[in-house]
Amino acid sequence: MRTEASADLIARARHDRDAFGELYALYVHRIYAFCLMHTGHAQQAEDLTSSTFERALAKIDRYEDRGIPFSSWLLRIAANATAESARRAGLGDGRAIIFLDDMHPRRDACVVAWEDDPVQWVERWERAGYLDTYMATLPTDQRMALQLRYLEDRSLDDMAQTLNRSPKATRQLLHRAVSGLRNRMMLDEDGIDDDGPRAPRDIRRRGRRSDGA
Amino acid sequence: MTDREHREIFDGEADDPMARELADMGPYMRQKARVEVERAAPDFIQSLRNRLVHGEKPEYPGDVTDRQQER
Repeated sequence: MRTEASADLIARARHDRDAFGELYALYVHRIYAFCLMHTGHAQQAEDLTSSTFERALAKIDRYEDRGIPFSSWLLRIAANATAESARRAGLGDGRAIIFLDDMHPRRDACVVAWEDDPVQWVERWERAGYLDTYMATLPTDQRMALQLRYLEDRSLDDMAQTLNRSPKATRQLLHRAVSGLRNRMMLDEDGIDDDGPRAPRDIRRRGRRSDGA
Repeated sequence: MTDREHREIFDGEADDPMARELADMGPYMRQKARVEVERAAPDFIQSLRNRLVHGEKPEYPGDVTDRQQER
């Protein structure tokens, strides 16, 4: 899980602009990436990043730690700013755009699809980060199997060739990888493995609901 | 064999909640990984920081929805 600001730094940032500068340094790349994901345009992402941190500076007195990471608060600000920007630009009913596949080759082009509301963009973004963090804890071959299958949508034969295994062994490996990922995430949620990465309770719980647990 | 079963790589993959979530999130995660290696221009990063640290503190009253979502 990405580094989060300490409670002390957040407290100092309420009245110390240099401390806010430290918060900015900690989160700016994450916020920029989120904005770029939802606009596909570097200049727009910069504008929205600026808006996000300016709003955060104006509102930081009102931030309260209620178990939600500071990054989530910033991401929600970014999501709202993105939605407002889309509304002003007359894009549909104000829901912003999400890339479904590759980045559009023309950086100034709008793309693809609409999704729900800004809060759900943040939840999806964080859920993806959570999954990625746990995948990174798997053995290399299992991690590769998951990436080839689910991120790159490769065929079994492609996977087997890349992994230098038989198709049968690749099937078994993928099955072990999926089970391994599930087990690691469930162990951490049950609080058994205190060394594992933690995520906000709502992100973990959502995962269990999707797992049918 | 159904189409879904035909596309399965391991038995039960289509019904496995973890596999289903990975299939759903996979393309998004790939895209997320791509944008996360992109970096804003260094001069933008620095100029925004200067504005935030040394400039006038902005005021954003926002609206009710804005405040609710950002709490």
